[in-house]
Amino acid sequence: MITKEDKNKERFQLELEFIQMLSNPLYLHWLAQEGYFNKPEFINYLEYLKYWKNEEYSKFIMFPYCLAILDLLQHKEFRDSLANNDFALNIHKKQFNHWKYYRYNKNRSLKMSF
Amino acid sequence: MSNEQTVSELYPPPPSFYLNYTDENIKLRDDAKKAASAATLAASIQQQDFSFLEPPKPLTTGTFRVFGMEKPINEEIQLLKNYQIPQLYPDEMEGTTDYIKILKKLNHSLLFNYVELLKTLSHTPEDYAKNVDNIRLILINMHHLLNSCRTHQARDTIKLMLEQQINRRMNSITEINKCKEKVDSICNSITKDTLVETLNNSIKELEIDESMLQQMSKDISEINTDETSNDEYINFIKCYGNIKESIKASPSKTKQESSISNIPKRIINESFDPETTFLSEIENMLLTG
Repeated sequence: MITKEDKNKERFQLELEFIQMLSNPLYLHWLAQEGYFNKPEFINYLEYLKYWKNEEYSKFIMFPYCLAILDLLQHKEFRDSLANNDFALNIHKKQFNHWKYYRYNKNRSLKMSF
Repeated sequence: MSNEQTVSELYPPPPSFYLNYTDENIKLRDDAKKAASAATLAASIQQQDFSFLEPPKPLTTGTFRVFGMEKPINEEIQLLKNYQIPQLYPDEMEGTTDYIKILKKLNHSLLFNYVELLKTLSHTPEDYAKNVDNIRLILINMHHLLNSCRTHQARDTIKLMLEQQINRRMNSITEINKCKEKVDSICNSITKDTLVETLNNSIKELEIDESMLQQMSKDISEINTDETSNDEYINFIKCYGNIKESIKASPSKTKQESSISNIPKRIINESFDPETTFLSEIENMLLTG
């Protein structure tokens, strides 16, 4: 017997996993190749997924890059460019550099301001 | 267990919920929402249920499972006691500044225990276990204590970031104000006197222009008296007469001159468009402040 709560939980976990997978540029590239970005219902779904940006949902997210990418995915140019493998790899590189250097630079500038 | 069928798809497809989000469904839902906000209770009973388009409710209790990991929803820092590890410092630490003191104490006893370990190793090497256990306990306590400072660290980082943002915004506000003051002062300097002055200047120039044209027509009439037989000159005079009239009617339109090729060059060079000079003068004023 599947209760309403179980269904809610299942959907919650599925969407939580899916939205976090968006932080992987190679997955985005795969989605583009599979033609998901040409489906209007999928675009609407991406719009709907914005609810993860609310506080009561966002605390469950372990890979916060996905929220930034979710914003980018609302733009058509970004979605179209993802079909290009080089573009996806470039995003991957940018992500890595951000992860590696952003905090370092931030900390340095914070120290400088004192 | 892994066979070729599971490898055929490199990535999992998106959840099938997205299939519900057709343009049609979204439109229907929005219409229903609009109707619900305006309509009566009777109408709302007839409405379809669009809850399958709404996001799931956030989980509040228990655990959740993501990428095969089971996680508690409300994660709290556990006390060391809950792990059956003796705690070497007082419970109530939150909000106090004793962290440094206690960490220093722990550091001291760590060194002491290390010396003890060396002693036992030199005297009775087989009893080493007790000292090593002591050292491990102290290190675990230190580690835990440091971890309990994490929330404080995060809060402070946010505070610093916010302060930076505020500073940046304040700077831009002062810059905008400066710019506004500059523009204001320029605007004030333009009003009345300077405006009148520039207008007068352009009127003067116009008068010069007019007198020049009058001089020109005089010259022409002189020539006219000399050589009345020439047809070309008769046409010429007609043209100048037209110009004169047009200038009297609207002094700003002197461009017609350039269409007549036989006008003496001096006049063409010195003629001007009063509108453009006026604008350029104001421009210069704005630039020089």
